[in-house]
Amino acid sequence: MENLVIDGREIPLDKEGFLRNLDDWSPQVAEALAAQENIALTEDHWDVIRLLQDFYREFELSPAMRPLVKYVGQHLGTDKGRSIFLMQLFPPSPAKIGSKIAGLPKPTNCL
Amino acid sequence: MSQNKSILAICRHAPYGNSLAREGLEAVLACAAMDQIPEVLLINDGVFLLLEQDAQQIGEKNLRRNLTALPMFGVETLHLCERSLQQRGIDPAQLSLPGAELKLLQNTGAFIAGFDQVLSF
Repeated sequence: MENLVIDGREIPLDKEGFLRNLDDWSPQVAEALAAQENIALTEDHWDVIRLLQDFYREFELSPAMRPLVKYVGQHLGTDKGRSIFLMQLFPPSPAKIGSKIAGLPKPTNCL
Repeated sequence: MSQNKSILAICRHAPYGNSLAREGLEAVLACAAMDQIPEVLLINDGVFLLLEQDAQQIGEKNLRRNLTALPMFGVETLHLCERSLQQRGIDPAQLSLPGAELKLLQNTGAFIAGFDQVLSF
């Protein structure tokens, strides 16, 4: 995967496009990572990105699909805590693609 | 592994020092992520996983923090060996895990024998 260049600064990515240094994350980086996945970020995306980052701070883990659905349901309501909603935002694998854009490590239990 | 086999993950080791506690937790999370939600038993030094930890001091991830993710993954009950707690001077009344039920076991052998598959870490 090509590294990102943002404002003349090179941001290293691993071969699957995850940030090598999590400290490099910024909203601009998220936009660029999303563009690589052909995703244009909307308010719904940002809500989930913030929750992914909260999840990581709370549990020191990137979520798999099941806990992500549960966590989103707890914080954004049951109409959004559904896999179909997350699939539409971050296809084809919301836990993985969402974690990537939110600047989290690759979920270890995401096979 | 067939869907209907019961799985127990036994965590016998203290956090840090070696990687077994971490490996055990990751195995539980991986099972749960694939809809094979196991039961979890903390026994011997594994009961130390429930105590508060300041893992940053040794540049590690906080395993208790990881443990608190288990209810999110569908593991809502943690089984604890009562004797292991007694031997280490830990008062069960002082223990809690957000979102999870802690169950004390007097007869761990009989409990373990009830499972089809046992993962031991």
